[in-house]
Amino acid sequence: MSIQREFTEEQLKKIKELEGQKIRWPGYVALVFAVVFFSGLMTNFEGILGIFDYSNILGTFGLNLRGEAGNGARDGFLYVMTIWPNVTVALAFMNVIEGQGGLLAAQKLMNPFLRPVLGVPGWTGLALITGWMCSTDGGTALTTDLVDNELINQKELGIFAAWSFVASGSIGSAISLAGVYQPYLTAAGIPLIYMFLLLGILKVSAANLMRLYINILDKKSKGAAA
Amino acid sequence: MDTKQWAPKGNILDDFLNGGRKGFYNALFNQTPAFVMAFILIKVLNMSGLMAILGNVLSPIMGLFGLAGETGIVLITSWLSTPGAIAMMPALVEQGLLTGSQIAYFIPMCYAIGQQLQWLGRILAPIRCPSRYYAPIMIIGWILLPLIGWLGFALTSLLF
Repeated sequence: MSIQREFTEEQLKKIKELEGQKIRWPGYVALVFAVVFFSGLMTNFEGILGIFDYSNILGTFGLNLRGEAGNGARDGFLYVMTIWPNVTVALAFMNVIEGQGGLLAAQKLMNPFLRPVLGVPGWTGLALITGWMCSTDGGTALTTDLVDNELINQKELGIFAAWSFVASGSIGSAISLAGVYQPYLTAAGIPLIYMFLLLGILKVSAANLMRLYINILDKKSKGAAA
Repeated sequence: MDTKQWAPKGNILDDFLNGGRKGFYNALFNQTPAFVMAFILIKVLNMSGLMAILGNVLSPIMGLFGLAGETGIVLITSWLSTPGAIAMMPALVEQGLLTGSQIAYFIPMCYAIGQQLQWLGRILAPIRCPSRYYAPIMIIGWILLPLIGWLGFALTSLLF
């Protein structure tokens, strides 16, 4: 893949277009909603505040679907059935949040941090958020777009690949599987957002270790240091 | 089935329903097979006696992170399928081998080295990441495994 030092006129225009996308206020509202809803911060609140919480909205079954002392494939099947509502609800809300521009808002807010903190160009923001929160394949598709449009050079791609690879889709996956482990976290007094924080540290570390590796050990690629 | 048809379009009601369809499809065709596989694995390990043996073998390693030896099996499973690994956790909790506060940092550990082969094909190859970066990226996951384990162990003990 060719390394870019200077972007062409056409590419600069395309970049300006992407950066100029207007974020309307529903996007920011959606983003705040997403953070509050899935963070677990409102779990213990009753009344109006408690509405803005994923586990509260999920509620309880009112009966033990799995019964006692099951094992093997059948037990596994009944068990995953207890998670079906969790995934359905999580993605239903995520789709709305995305549709209102929540991801775009997230990306806009992250842009100033991406270059110094990770060493990747600002417009990886959407691929970054999508691949982490929504779907691995969605993030991959957006990243491939960037590569096809030559908006990312080889070094930056390596760093971004490391970010994407480690714990890919982990927030999305962790939310849809929350039914499995969240009761234990809640019993220990630990909000979901704490685990998300650790996942964030994981991914940022992965990107920066790769950044270090590329800058120090990778002799083959030339071009601007990321 | 092409899940792209359920992509968000801006209409809140439609997006909600389509998101639900996406989620349910995911639950049915991705998570269900993964969970069933995990439970089969657990049963095979229990029936063959391998669970106890592996638990003893991995005990010193997992002990470094304040975890029971049996969690090592969950970690190994995560390398193949992280949802499968997470599916195994309640069984360990019921047996008193895993606690809520351990889960808080054990899950990130599982994600650190999770599904590496799968991501190679689903992420690195399609984005045309140079193949000489494949090994370093995978190794980084393994380097971060103990690091996030210790950080998580320390931080969780401190805060909760």
